[in-house]
Amino acid sequence: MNLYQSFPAEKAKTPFCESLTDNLSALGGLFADSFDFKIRRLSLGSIRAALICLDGMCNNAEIFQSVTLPLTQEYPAGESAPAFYERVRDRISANVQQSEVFFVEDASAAVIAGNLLLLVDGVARSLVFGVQGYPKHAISDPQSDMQDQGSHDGFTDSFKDNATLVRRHLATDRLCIKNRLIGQTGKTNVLVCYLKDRASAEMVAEVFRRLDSVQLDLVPGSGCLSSFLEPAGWRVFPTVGSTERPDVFCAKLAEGKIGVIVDGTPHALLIPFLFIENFHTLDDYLKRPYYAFFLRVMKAVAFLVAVFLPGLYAAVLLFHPEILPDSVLGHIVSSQRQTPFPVLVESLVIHIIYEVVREAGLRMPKSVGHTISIVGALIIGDAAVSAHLISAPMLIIVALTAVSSAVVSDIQDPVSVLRLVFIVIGGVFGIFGIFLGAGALLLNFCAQRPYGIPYTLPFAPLRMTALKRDAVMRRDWKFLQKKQYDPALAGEEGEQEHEKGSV
Amino acid sequence: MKRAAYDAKALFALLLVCRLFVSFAFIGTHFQGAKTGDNVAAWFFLAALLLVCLVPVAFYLKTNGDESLLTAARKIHPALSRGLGLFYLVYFLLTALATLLRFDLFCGSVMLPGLPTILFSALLLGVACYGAYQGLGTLIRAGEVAAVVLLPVIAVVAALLTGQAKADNLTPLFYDGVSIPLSVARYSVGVTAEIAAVPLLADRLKGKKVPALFFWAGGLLATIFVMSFLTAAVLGAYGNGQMFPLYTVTVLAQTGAFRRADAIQSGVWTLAVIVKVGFFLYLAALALKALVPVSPKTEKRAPLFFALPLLAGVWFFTRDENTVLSFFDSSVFSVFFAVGALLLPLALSLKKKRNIQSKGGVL
Repeated sequence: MNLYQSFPAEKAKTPFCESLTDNLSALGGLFADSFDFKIRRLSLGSIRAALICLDGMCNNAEIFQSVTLPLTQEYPAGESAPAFYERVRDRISANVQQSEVFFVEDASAAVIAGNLLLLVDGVARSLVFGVQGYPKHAISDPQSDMQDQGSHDGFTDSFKDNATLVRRHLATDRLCIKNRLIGQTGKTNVLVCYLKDRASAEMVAEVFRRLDSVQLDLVPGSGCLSSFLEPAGWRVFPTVGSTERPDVFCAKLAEGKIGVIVDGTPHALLIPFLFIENFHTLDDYLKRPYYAFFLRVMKAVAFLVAVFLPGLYAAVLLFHPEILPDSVLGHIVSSQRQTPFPVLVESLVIHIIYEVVREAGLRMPKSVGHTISIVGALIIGDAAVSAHLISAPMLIIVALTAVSSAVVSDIQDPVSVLRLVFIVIGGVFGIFGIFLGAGALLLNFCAQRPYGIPYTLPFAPLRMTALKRDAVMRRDWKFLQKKQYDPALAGEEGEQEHEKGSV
Repeated sequence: MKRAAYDAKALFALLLVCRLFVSFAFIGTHFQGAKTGDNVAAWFFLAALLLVCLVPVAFYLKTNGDESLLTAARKIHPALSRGLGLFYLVYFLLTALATLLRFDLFCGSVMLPGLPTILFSALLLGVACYGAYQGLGTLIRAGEVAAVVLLPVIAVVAALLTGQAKADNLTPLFYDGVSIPLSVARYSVGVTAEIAAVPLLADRLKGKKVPALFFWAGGLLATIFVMSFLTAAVLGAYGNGQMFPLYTVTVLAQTGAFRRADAIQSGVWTLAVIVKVGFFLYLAALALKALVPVSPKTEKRAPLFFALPLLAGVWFFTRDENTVLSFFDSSVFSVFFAVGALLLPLALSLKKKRNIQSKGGVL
């Protein structure tokens, strides 16, 4: 399939004509205001031709080696233009990716993608040479998804490099990598990856249907596509996963998931994504099973602490102080009495300040980011406690929640917002409010069925086999190798949709 | 129309959570003269009665297991389906209202006395409506999670209370005769509207439905027994005058740094109420669809329409505590239960059986 012929036909395309001058005028018209649009005219005996590219988007050495040199060295005298074109197409430059386009708009898209065009006078089509050579990051450690063990390869901004990384980690002919160009104006390459014998055909078709429905002008990052790939409805936590690690990406493909790589971003998407997967990391699978279990339980506790602890603190202090022993309560109350603000306000303000400091640390250059963290954590925190603006127990709560939310970094964004929500409802309605909010959150979790798979698997519907095998506990690899693919986790044994007459 | 089928065990986990709330919010002072020991005695009658009452539904599931009761009724006559739709609509809305009232009373009496409970009810109803709006699958999954949270909490509280149980607090069974235990048991069965829900959802279930039904009953009875026994053994005569004896007993549960477990326990029960009210609102929407032809969109939104009358009901009944208690005391629930959970499933099962036999089939 020719990639450059797959654009949505928003208007009628202009076919190439046999006149080189006219074709160049048509293309030149599209790039009239582009300084980097380059045309190099060639006279190959009696044949007139032109090479067209965008300066900086192609690898000049590759152009010279694979295109210019063979063209200028091998042209027999007296050959007709069509015969020359066909000989070039069939025999020359076999070491670069090559395709043909028939329309000016397709040729333009190919040039924008960093290809080199060859137009020959007397031939109403153009050859496209894949000689891209634009600047890009080298493959290096991923910036997020840090692991103790595992590969040091991380996805890059180039979709082709990322596809290569996937191929290298998953060397099988069952791996399908299909391309789509998405974006009305900025045509972004999007790769859909899956294992043909593992991924559900319906799910793959659904992913393509949703991608084809995208009418965005630009796709600046993979996050833009997430909302198109998620099911309709409002949800708190994402049902599309994201990773920068090719090893994790490939492991998920092996589980039957579908991966989406978007050009220009190292964050690949994984579909469908269950809630429990937020607590899984590659390290779980590379370390001892008991330690993996410990890690997962610890992460689940950290999640609960990050979301509920500040709200519970406010609720207990304001409504249910009788829960706490006298000694603990005495310390907290004496510390709290020295501060001017009510518990609810103090809790809200200090957590908002923490979020501000975190955001500042994230956006600033790394060196300044560390300084901001030190200023925020040590100076503001310590000074605020010394000045009796906030209580020491409150600072401990903030520190605990901050550290805990870093443990579940993939869902840090919703956790940050939920924490504030629970502070408010805990401070206004007490533990009743906390559980009411938790109930609403639970219903929101349970309402999600990304691609027909309950988001709450394997807890609801309860799948004890999956829980014991790999979801919460992680069995030894000797056990896991017996069955690489767990249908219970993938949903085949979940709730089945079937035809039933309704009342 | 494409509809999902759910594991019968999952639905019964939801039903367990729903029914256990009634036991938690059982009002001890409701039966004048009833003692904590009478609840233990009543358990034996409850067990026998409950198992007997399961027979019609089990029979229905056996004969007509792939068909909702309302669909079966429509096949007999559309008017019958509409009539049953109205009946179940009222029944399930009343059950949702009773649940809200129990919770409202509980909040106002012990959990957060002095605060405007109507606000809590409104918030709770809002969350429950959201659950009902999301559909049966959401409620079943939420019920499973609630069961996973609730049962260990009950087990932990029971374990914490074991040390405080005293044999002296227990009175001989049927010390004051059988009339009060029998009355308590009859009442307890009468408020088990969950049994009536099963035939309506028969077509949405897969797996072994009848064993799951009895498994549910077994789990329910076991939990009720533990709760009743501990209440009697820990509280003794002190529990006789308590509004919510089970709550009172959780106040005494303590572990390590935590002096009381009642707030956590009450919070966990909030989950059960949300799931229960949401479930009955969903069922009411299902009944509404049988009563009047509504589009799937309206059926989905119906729980939202029920919210306002329910809230008005809560406001009306909670103006006076005696009005609430008289609402609970009325035999209306027993009547609805007898018709909705016993007579109708039995009648439609017999009809189905007769049809099969008349065609020469074997049941």
